[in-house]
Amino acid sequence: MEDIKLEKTNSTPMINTDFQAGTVEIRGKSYPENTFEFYQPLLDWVEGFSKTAGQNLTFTFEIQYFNSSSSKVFYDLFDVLEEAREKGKTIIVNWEYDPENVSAEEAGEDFQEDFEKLEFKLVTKEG
Amino acid sequence: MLNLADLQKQFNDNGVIFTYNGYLSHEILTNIIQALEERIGTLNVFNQSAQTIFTIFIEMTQNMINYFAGRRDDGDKECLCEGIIVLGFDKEKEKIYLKSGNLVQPEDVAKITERIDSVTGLDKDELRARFRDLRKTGKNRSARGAGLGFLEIQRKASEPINYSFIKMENSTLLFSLDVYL
Repeated sequence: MEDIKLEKTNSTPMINTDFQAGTVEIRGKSYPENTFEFYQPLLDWVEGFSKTAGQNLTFTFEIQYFNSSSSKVFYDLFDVLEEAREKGKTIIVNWEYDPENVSAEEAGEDFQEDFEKLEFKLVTKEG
Repeated sequence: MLNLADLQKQFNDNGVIFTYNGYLSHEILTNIIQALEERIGTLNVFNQSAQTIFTIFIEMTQNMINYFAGRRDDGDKECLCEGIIVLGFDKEKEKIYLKSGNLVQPEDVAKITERIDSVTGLDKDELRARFRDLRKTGKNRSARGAGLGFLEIQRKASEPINYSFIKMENSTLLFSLDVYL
């Protein structure tokens, strides 16, 4: 499967997937011009990943702020990840945020509640 | 003739920090956010109010951009996205405010009204529940977005958002939105 290597821009996050290592990193801000279009390749990648045998996945999010459509896309992503978990894969989601970023903390808590079957960790990062 | 002294006085009397009037595009939005980040966000220390300003600013502007994009899709190919945005500090209320304005067609009034009225009466918990439900079901989703913009704005505001439709020439209306943080 082809990995995604996207650099960060002013309105979109960096996305780095590593199929071999079983990792995905998403860091930055998220308010793309067309949010669904922007994240479709990542959704496709995660769906593709979830269909392969055996692989475990660690998903790291560090999003400073994101628009409401991104929130919907992340929800859909976690949905696919939860399905993969039900098929027996180990999925870890690290939701990283600055301890003073109350919105990011609350958003992480909401996702954690919605996806109890995922190992969803809230991780504070200084600086 | 535009009198800069009068204009500046009006801005200062109303605590205007930043305003933009004219053509709006995604590129322009990202440039404005960058400029605002330098202006009001400090680099190394996290600032929650600044974050809230940016997120609401983005939701309001993207609402306008998507509205006009939708109109172009509906056949109004000449339609240019234009709007006005004001960020300021209300000295009486001691609150940051954001106002946006853009022209809309009479046939769009009902939908906008319904969307906003459905959120302004809800409390924090109800807003959170509604947001999470709509996010899950994708009920308001369209080609351009998740349809959660007004809900998200109301969640982050400190009082019910206010709006009006002001009659302009040739039967267009100016949709004006007021948000207090």
